[in-house]
Parts: sequence; C-alpha cells; structure tokens
Amino acid sequence: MPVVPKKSVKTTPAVKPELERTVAELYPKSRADSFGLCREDFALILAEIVDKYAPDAGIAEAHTFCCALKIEELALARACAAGHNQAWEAFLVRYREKLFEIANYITKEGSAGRDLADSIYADLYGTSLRDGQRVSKLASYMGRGSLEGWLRTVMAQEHVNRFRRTRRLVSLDEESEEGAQFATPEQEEVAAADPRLEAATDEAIGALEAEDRFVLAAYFLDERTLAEIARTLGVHESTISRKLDKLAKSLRKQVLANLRGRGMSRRQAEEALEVDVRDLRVSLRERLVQENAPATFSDRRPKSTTKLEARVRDEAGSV
Amino acid sequence: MAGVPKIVIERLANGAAAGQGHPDANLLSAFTEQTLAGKDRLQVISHLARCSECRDVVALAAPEAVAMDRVFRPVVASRFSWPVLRWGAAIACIVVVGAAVTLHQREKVTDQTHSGVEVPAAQLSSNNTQVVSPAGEAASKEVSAEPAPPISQAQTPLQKMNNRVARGNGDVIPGRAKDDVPTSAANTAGDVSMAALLNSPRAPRWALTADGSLQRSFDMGRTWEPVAVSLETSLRAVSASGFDIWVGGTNGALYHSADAGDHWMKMQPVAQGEPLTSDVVGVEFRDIEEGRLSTSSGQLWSTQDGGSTWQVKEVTPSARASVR
Repeated sequence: MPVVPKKSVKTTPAVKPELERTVAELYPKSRADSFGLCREDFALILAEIVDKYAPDAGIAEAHTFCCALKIEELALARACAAGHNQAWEAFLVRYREKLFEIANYITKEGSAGRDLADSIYADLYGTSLRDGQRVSKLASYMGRGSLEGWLRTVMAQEHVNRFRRTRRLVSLDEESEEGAQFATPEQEEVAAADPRLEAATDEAIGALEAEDRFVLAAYFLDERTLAEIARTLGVHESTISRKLDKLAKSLRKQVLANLRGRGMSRRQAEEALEVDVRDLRVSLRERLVQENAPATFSDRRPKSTTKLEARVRDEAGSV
Repeated sequence: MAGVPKIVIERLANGAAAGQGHPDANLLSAFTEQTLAGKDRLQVISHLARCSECRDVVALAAPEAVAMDRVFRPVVASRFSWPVLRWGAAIACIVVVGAAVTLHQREKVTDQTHSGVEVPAAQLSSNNTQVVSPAGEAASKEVSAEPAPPISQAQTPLQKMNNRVARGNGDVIPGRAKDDVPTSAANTAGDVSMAALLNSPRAPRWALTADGSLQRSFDMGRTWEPVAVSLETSLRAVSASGFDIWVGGTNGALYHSADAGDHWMKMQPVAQGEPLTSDVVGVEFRDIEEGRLSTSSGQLWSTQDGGSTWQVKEVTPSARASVR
C-alpha cells in the first residue's frame, strides 16, 4: 500500500463564508472524516472547485452545484492525494481491479493494458515532484463525474497521447513495409476547387448546431459506428441514424442554396457539388497498404477500407 | 442513409480546433456520463465537434461499454447462454401446455357434473375414497386411502369454490365414493344397476345431497340416480372400496352394501356394551375388514373385522378430522 508524504491541499482559494452551510451539509455525507480529511481541507476543496467551474455563482447556485458533485468520491480522491493511508486502502479495494479492466478494454491487448494501468497508477500515486512534494493526479479530480469515469477518461487520454506519439515515431523501414515508397506523390490539385463551393460549404457547416457537427464529424471523419456515437450522447442509435440522414439532406440543400446565392444557377450548383475533381484522385499507396494498414488505437476498421475511401473509389470508378 | 459530398467532409476536417485548450478529464467524464448540462455541456460538445483527439477520448471512455462488458459478460456465459435459454423455453412450453390441458379437462368435467358441482377423479388404483357431509353443512371431501389427510387439505381451490356453489343451491352434495373398476366376475348380480356398472367404462360416482340422500352416476356425473338406503336416516358420510359401500348418518346409522348400492345391510356398532347412537359424520374403510367412524360427539370408532367388533375412544377434533 503506497504511503505518500502528507501534502497540504492547495489553499489558493479562500473559503467563502457563503459555503459554510454547504460544507456543514456535505462534510458528513462525504465520509471525508473516515478518509482522514479534515473539515477545513474539505472546505478548501469545495472552494477550489466552485472557483474553477462556477466563479460567478451566487450562494444558492453554488450550493446546488456542490450538491451535484460526487462528493464521497471527491473526498476519497483528495484524501488519497493528500496521502492518507485509510483513503488509499479504500481506493485500492474499489479501483485496483477496475484500473486493469479499463486499461484492457481501452487497449484491447493484455500487455499494453498492464503497461497503461501501471503508468496511470504511478501518476495517481504521484511520481513527479512540485516544491519537494509528490503531486498526485488524483488532486485534479473535481467530482463532476464519477471517479471511475474520471479514471477511464484519464486512461483514454493517456492512451490517445501514446498512440499519437508512436505514430510520429514510425521508422522508415516500417513505412517501406507499408508501401510508402510506392505512394502516389502528393500532387497539386488537378483543378482548384471553386472557392464559392468552399465558402458555401463553410457557411452551411458553420450554421450547424454543435451536437449536429459532432455527430457528422464522429461518423464521417472518425468513422465511429452509430452505436458508439449513440452511447457517447446517451441516445438510441436509431436517433443518430435519423439525425445523420436529416443532416446529410439539409446540408446538401443548404450548400446548393448558398451556391445559388453566390451567383450560380441551380444546374451549375448541382454540378459543382456532384462533380468534385478531388474525388478522381486515386492513391496507389492506399491500394498497396490495404493489408498492412497501421492499427488504430481502437478496434476500428483499417484506414484503407474506410467507408469514405471506399465511396471515393466507387465514385471514381463510376466516373 | 444519405451520404454527404466530399467537400463537406473536407471542410469539416479543416475546421478542427487547432491550438485550443482541451476540456479537462472532469468535464469529459461528466459529458460521457450525461451529467453535464447547460453551458458546460455546450462548451464541451462544441469543442468535441472540432477536436478529433477529444472525440477519441470520449469514445474510448464511454462508460456503458465497460459497464456492459463487466456486468453482463459473465451472466451471459453462465446463465443466459443460448443452450440454457433454448431448453428453458422448451420446458416452459411443456409446463404451460400441460397446465392448460389439465385445467381445460377439469373445467369440462365440472360442466358435465350434476348441478355444476365437480366430482374430482381419483386414481383407479385408489382403494378407498370417502364423502363426508358434516351436520348442518354439506361439503364434498375427498381423501386418499393411506393415510387419510384432513379434508381441508385434500380439497383443491376449485373444489372449495364448487362446494360454495353447492351450499348456495341446496342441491346435490358432490362426492365420489367409488372409483375402483370391478374386476371380480364372481359378483354376478343380474339387475340393471350391476349390468350398468359392469358395462360402464368408468366406475360410478357417489354423491350425498343436502337432505342426506345418496346418489350415484355411471356416466362421469352427467346424470345421477337416487339410491335408496333408509327412509328414516339422513346420511352424512360415505366410503367405498371396490363394490363395498358404507354410508353413515344420523343416530348412529351405518349401512353397508356389497353390490355397489343395490342391496344394503344395517350395521349396529357396539363397543364395551354400548351401541353407537351419535350421528356418524365420518366413515373410512380401507378394505372390507378395517374401518373407522367418527361421530358428532367426538368419538372414534374402529373395527378390524368388517364390523363384527368395535373399539371406541374419545378423540381430539384434529384426529376426528382425519377420518373425514
């Protein structure tokens, strides 16, 4: 069981008198006392969180905000960060196994999962030093979501960061094996896209709601499945399917309207949208690396066989 | 699903949030758990719409995926796997069909029974069944031969309901006192009743009416005929074993028939020099030799020699009930 030198909680935000009632109500509920966290430290933690997320909140709003926090898990995490043994014991009982389960789920591979979990565990314990004291990553937990959800998110962030780092370090030999030497050289646009088309499209996209744009990006750029997007937004996947269908139709209609607003006739606008010269480009490299596509950080389909590129190839073939 | 032009996808990718700060893990985890609302949620989703890195994070950190994996995988493997469900469904179907057929047959028999009162079928191998009609209240009661359970435990809910119907109508008190199929060719009584009995595909059924008379049916209760036993006696209980029938009634009356009710012989139980004078409210004969009576005065009479000698003792209500 790790024993961390006791570290005082960051005391930059002063405890507002308005929070006294909130502290009095939430401190017993949080079981902070059983984790070794005193009332004053608990009050400072609440003040820090209110300052960060609701600096302009009034008394009632701040109280409501604090009551919505995962207060017991917040006390546990912060007590761990402060190095209290009883808190660490409780944390290990609750989350030690989960850490490895989550890591395996994210990496989809046993050894990588153990590596990720060990790395996160070290961060939670606090390996870096600040002012001669260990800094635990748990000190950044604010109780907005569950502690398990926060751990999952932290591990996902670490995994994505690692993946991006390793992609930047692909050796020339690996590139050669993937057929990079045969890749079609990046070429200039055969014909520059009509700036009016780009402007009309940007205008249509800019008018989208944030959630609509998120759904479009997740589906068409990230190639997430309907189920994955639905799970992220907490809706049924049929809702996402309908939304995507509606968005695709309305976007097309809006872009056409914007093109006509920029002086194109209806026929010209439709031709500009349908016949995009960039669709005619065929990358030899993409054809060659179909079998050796680098693995992505999730179990997504190989990049060379994505829906988007398949569609591009199909359209190029038909032209 | 309708596709979108490639220019749209390209402009979507170009609009990435370059150089912007990312939401911290607290906000992202709250977003994936659907606990973020209002301005905070709008800020996060606006960032996610432009930041593929954070979209990857929230997709990987989606809580349901881990939770479902952890919670349901063992259960699916152990209890709800397809073979278990398949056999479970088959067994459930058999049970349901069996129950439906049984209920249907019971309802059919009930409809056919005289005055709508059911006479439950007993097993042909049963040696003895008994019908008891307590004083002041008529009820149908069926008991098994070994040992005889209390009447209240032997009745089914359907029987109890039918009993209530019978009490309300003041009509025939249902009862089945004879179920054994005659196997002895030695009994050659040539009258119509015995011929009907011998030719009957099913054993006769017995019933006591509310006014204390005996009836029998050779056609599963569709039609009933009165059986003359004694004009001055109101019968309260009946018991049958093979062709032998015993009926008991008021003032210590006990009659025995060896030919399925065509001829009766009055029995006079005497124990310790005292004759039986109380009303007989329960009769149980396991065979032609061994039998027991219970009386309204709380006595239990028993014989081991077909009624030649009797023993009597005072009994508790529960013991008396066991005879009924």
